[in-house]
Amino acid sequence: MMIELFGVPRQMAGRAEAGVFATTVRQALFALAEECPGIAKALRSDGSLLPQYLVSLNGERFLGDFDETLPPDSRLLLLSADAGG
Amino acid sequence: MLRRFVGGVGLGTWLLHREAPRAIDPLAPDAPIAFVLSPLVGTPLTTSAKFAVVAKSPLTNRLNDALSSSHFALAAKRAGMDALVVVGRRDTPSVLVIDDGVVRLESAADLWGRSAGEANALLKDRLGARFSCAIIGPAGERLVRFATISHDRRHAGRGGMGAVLGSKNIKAIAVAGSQRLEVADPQGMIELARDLSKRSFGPATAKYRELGTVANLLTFNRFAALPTRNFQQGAFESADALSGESLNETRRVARNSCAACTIGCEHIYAAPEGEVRLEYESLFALGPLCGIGDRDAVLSAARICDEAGIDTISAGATVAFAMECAERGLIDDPNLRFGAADRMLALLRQIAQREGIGALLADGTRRAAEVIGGDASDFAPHVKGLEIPGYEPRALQTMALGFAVGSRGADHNRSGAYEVDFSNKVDRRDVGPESVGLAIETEDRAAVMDSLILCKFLRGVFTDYFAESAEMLRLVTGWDMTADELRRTARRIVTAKKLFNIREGWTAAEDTLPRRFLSQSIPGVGDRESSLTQERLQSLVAAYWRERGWTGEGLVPSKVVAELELTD
Repeated sequence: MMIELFGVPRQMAGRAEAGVFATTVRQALFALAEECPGIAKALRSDGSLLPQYLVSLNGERFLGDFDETLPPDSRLLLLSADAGG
Repeated sequence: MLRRFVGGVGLGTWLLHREAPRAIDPLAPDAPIAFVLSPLVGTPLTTSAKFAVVAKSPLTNRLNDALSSSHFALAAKRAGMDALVVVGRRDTPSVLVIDDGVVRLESAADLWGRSAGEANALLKDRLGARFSCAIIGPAGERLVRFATISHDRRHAGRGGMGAVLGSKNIKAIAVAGSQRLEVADPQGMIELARDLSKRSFGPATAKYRELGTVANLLTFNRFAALPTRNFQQGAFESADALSGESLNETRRVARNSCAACTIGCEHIYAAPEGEVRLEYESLFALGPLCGIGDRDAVLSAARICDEAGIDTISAGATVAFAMECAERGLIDDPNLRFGAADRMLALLRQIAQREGIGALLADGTRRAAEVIGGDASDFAPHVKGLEIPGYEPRALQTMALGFAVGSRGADHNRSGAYEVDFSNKVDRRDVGPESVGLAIETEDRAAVMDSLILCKFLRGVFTDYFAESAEMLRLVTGWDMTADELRRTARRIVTAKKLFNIREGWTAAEDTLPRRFLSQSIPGVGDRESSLTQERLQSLVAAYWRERGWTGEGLVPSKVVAELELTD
């Protein structure tokens, strides 16, 4: 699956997107951190996200269960939680 | 009274209830304008150098409060001010000078017609560097209904506070003083200030520090929530060229902080004519909303707005509205089209000077639509007369509710309801009653933040916002404030604003969105369009009134007035 990165996560990762092999959100985030070590700063040790970050499935809904199984063609969007401006 | 309303917006609302004659024209001599400080100004707490400007808005005819942060707040506190209410009208352009509590008026003949930046430099030459100034630009002098009050390159931006000051022939307020702030618990304050500063360097503020609010553009674009071409679309094909990432790489020249702030969210960019500060709201309004993908044009437009002293959100929205009117043949201006950057820049200057069609547009989209006629009112992008900020309400429907019920109109600072949409608590394109309480929670938190006043960019650093705010107030005042008392204070302030609006003629029909948003869908993410029906919005608004304890008509029962100690 593909993970698209926005804002601070993009800056941490040094790229706009990354492809990973995973079936759950947690696996995807761990795999992303292996591919882009800078993103580890956004993760807790159990692979969940710090509260300052959000993950969305295909831009359609935000995910709270990091063990949710994802369809193979999913796109995860990783972004800063503070949408204000 | 201070304990009931805290300061800032809360105290300003109380002052306006007392000082504003009923049904007063906001630009009449007797209309008051209040400058109200944060009770935390002068303490070492980060982001506390703030003040509120509160008046009846010439744009909405409802209560308006605009916040800003700058050395003006610090100097005003040293001058002995907690609040200043200005009424009356000078015969000639004047400067109101407050020097250690002594008030005098001086001529502003040499300042009239100048930008806020130029006038500030001249005033400092005249009065001395110890003075800080709040100043209107040429747009405020010409009573543009969305004119700002400027200081330190920042602005009390929304709702036309600059026009209110301009109507009094006051070009600037200059303050200086030597008084020191006494706090109830100095040692406790130092310890809390250190802790808060440390937290302000953490991940909760990283976005603002590293990229600035302009980072929102690409994110909102991906979520089809980026208002484009006067809210006809939710995504912009040139978003990459305008993105915060692109701007930071190609145009950023500096990063600054407000007075007494450790976050440092101000990102300064190189425009063709010089430097300019740019935030997401200016970027969306002067870029995608007008169909403009040329980053230099957007930066130039932001500079024009700053120099003239006009609100970038209302300015961009007004230009975008005019572009759509011209494309539909409602305005005869063949060069005014979405994407026409040169015409946008010229039109902004015309608005600031009230020249040509700019004279009509300087009154905002609601009034302009009434004059233009046809179906223009259906797509004039405002609520209660205040132009809608950069959150597409059909794609962010809790925010749609926040816009509809906002006391000052469409507002992203008095309601943080977009936070609910950007969470797993609701389906942002199909929200139901579960979103109402969450929206109210953001509005209540904002009411206290805007009265204390602290920067909203700090909100992520608090674990228990109301309890920590109560502690701040205790350290300054000695009051044994609790989180529960502050929650009640928040409800009191929100309700006091509502009562002012009711007094000034508010009707239930105002708590809605323009027809476009309730009758047209826009492409969303994936196959699903984003749409919002009038019935759904009405049911959300009704649930909001109910949860606030208001009547089915949105009025405030006397029982609630008494419970919240609002009888005076």
